[in-house]
Amino acid sequence: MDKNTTELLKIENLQTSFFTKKGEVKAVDGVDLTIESGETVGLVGESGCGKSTISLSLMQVLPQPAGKITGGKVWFKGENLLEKTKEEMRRLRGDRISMIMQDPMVAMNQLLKVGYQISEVLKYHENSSSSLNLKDRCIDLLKRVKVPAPESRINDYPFQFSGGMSQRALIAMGIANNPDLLIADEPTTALDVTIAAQVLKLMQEVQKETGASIILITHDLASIAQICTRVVVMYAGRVVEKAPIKTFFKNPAHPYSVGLIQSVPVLGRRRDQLYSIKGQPPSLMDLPKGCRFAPRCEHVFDKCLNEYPPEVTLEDRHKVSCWRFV
Amino acid sequence: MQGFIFKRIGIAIMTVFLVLTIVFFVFRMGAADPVSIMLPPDASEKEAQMLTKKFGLDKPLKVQYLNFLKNAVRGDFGESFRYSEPAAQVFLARLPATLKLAALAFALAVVVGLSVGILSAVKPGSLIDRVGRLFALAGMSLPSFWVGIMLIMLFGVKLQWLPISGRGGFLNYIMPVICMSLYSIALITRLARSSMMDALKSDYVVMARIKGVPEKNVILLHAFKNASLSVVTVIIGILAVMITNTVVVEMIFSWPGIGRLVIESFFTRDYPVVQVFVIFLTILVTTLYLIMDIIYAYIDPRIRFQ
Amino acid sequence: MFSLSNTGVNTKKAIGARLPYLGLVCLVIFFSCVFFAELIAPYDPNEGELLNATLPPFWQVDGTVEHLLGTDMLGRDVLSRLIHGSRISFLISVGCISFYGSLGILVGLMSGFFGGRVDMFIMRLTDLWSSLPGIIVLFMLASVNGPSATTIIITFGIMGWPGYARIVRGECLSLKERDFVRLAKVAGCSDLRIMFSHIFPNLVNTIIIMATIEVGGIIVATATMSFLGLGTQPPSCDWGLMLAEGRQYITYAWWLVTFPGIAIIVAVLGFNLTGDWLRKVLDPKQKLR
Repeated sequence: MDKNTTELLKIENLQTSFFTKKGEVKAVDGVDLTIESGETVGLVGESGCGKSTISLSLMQVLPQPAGKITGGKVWFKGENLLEKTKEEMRRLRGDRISMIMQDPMVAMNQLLKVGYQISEVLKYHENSSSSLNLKDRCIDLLKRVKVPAPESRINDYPFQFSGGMSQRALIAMGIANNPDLLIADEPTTALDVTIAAQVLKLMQEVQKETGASIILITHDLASIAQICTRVVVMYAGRVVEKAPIKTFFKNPAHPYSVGLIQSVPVLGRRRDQLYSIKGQPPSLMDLPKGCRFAPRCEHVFDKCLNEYPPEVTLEDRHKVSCWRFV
Repeated sequence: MQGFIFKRIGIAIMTVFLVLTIVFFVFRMGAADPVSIMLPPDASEKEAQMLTKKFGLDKPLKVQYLNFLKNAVRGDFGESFRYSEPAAQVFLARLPATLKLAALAFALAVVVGLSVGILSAVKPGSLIDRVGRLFALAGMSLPSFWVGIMLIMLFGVKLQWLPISGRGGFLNYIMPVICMSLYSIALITRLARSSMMDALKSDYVVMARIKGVPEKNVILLHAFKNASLSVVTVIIGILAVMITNTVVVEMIFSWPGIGRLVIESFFTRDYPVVQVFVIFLTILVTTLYLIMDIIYAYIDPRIRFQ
Repeated sequence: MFSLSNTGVNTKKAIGARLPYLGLVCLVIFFSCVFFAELIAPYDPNEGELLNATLPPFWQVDGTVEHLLGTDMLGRDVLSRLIHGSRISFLISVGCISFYGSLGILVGLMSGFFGGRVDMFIMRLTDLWSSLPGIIVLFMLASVNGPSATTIIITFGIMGWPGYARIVRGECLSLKERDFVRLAKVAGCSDLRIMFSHIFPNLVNTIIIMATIEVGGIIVATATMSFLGLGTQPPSCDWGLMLAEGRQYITYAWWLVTFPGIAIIVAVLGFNLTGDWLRKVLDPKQKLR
């Protein structure tokens, strides 16, 4: 908290577990993460590595009663979110922090009109002093996310929307109250490639307009390259590398990051040369003692297996947790 | 939407017609030969012929069937052998007593079932959830006629707190209503709980929370609206269960309604009254299903815009 | 998005976790009675001495250890009648389920497999059919055939198939799209062969679960019908009939109405609890409810 005053979100040692019948699943296990005002950060990692759990934890909408935050602090604009009451959190959600979910088809309530679902975000947060009524503000929002004929579309139901249009409507809900932080959880996974590109572009424009910080959760490095300024790599519930976007693609440090970049198919390269990281990620119920990537790592040595590596700063803003750099 | 309703009305009419036809053939072709039932054993051939003529049984089957349908549309199902009155009239005189009982039991089942079901889904593992689940299991496993007898034995015979038979004041309603709604409460609780839990786990509920919608609205609007689709189905199904239960409960508590009437008529071979019962219930149930379909379409736009 | 599939947990471990102990105990009692009634029951269920009529259970003042649960108005041993009564419940349940189960499976398979117009027609018929209250059919059948166990079986047989048909159809629809069925089609198997030797074996779990769950309901319904006089007739030792006979003596012979009810509950609890457990184990996605 010392050096930078534009810090919007600072997550310190966040731990989140799911308590299932079979035992405790440590989905997020000691994550430190800082987001500055106005930046777009990509959060990458395999599915199940805890990316989505981080966002649900900081919004405190974990599935109940299984999900529980077991430790850490989440500073948002200088206040610890984990000490806030339920009502205070509710007021923050959809207002200062909002989120775009992965699959618009299931994220929207099929039985309620799209217009109503957008209006909810406005209705329950009484801060904006717009003179327009709810309906006009909804139309306005749909216009901003480039949904054609918004006047009639607000009376449609989600099943009458295409995938791309639904995602736009979700983005409209996300930006309705000009949030300070917008989390996009794999916003393009459920969409066609061309529509995905449009949605990414839209998010970029929205950010320019509102100045919000964006966390883009994805496993798709291409979309990160397209809009992010910084990358955070997660593996098995922990952050393993943080780097500015150029450094990450040019000079990845952590063996897992290297593997990720190598496994992206490149046009012109033969298919049988496509790289894949060997092995499976560890069970989150039974984590290895040392580095969690060690069993799959090409550069593994004794220390890796016995002790978790500390975070090392390589150059400005490039940090990595790997014994090779200690 | 209109086309949808018309289609459903068509199906309802077809159902009633189908049942009318089955009723005709079952009672006409089956054991219910009114001549042999009504005739004293020492009656002469001539008297038998007269009766046969009176019931139109000498005409060809096709004519009999058409006559039956024609009369049925007018609400005429012949005369009760036992009461020498039109069967429909005998039936209608007993109907209000049953409707009062059924309405109370139904209201109790819906109110208790829904509230316990929703509350236990919102807080799984809580006291109300555990009690509710135990109660639901009991309600599904206890035969309602046995519960009725046990109630009579405890509160009627032993403690003498409640009257054991007949209609009268408010106290007369307590045991029959409990006995009649027990199974339905259990069924609604169980279903409301499981469909609410499914709804509360879904992404659209998480999304509503992410939008900052107050928890009360998340539960009662977002989750319940989706859960209500399956709840509506079971609630209508429960009305059919209640009909069976009326017969049982009215027998146990000597309630002067249609349930007891139909059993008495059945055992005295007063088939016109049984026929009225069967046809009336078919119309009632098909109407209820029609209403359910309309409610369903009202809740779910995907059906409405089909 | 909340899938914990990557946690590497073996779901099979969970199966042994919470066995339905109460349910299994109930089932063991029930099936011992069904199969070994002659060995367990102390007396012939249908023979009694009027001298010993309406004896209370052994722990009451006039009770004797010779008739543990007392005797009825004809001096028949209540315990022996209850033990033999389990057979009637079991046979009727088996009869009902095999009757409408096979009907429902057949209809469901056809509906799901052929799809299109056949499916439309069958599903409409199912909707229409399940909207009829069963008691109507029972009255009609009983007036033709007379009240008896066969009447009950036929009634439930006629009324019960839509439930099976719907579930089987649903399963069949999803199985149809699976590779092994497509392969069978490509290999030139006939429709009938695909239905019965490729799709049907995959439905066995579902069918077992449904059958177990439904036995409880059938036992209650059978007892209810017999109680009303529309089912089995005297001197049968059907639990529902025992209750109906005992009802007249409710003011002084409480055991005649209490124990048959408890017998029903033991049987029903056994099937319901075990069925719920089976469903959890064999159908983790909870498609059946």
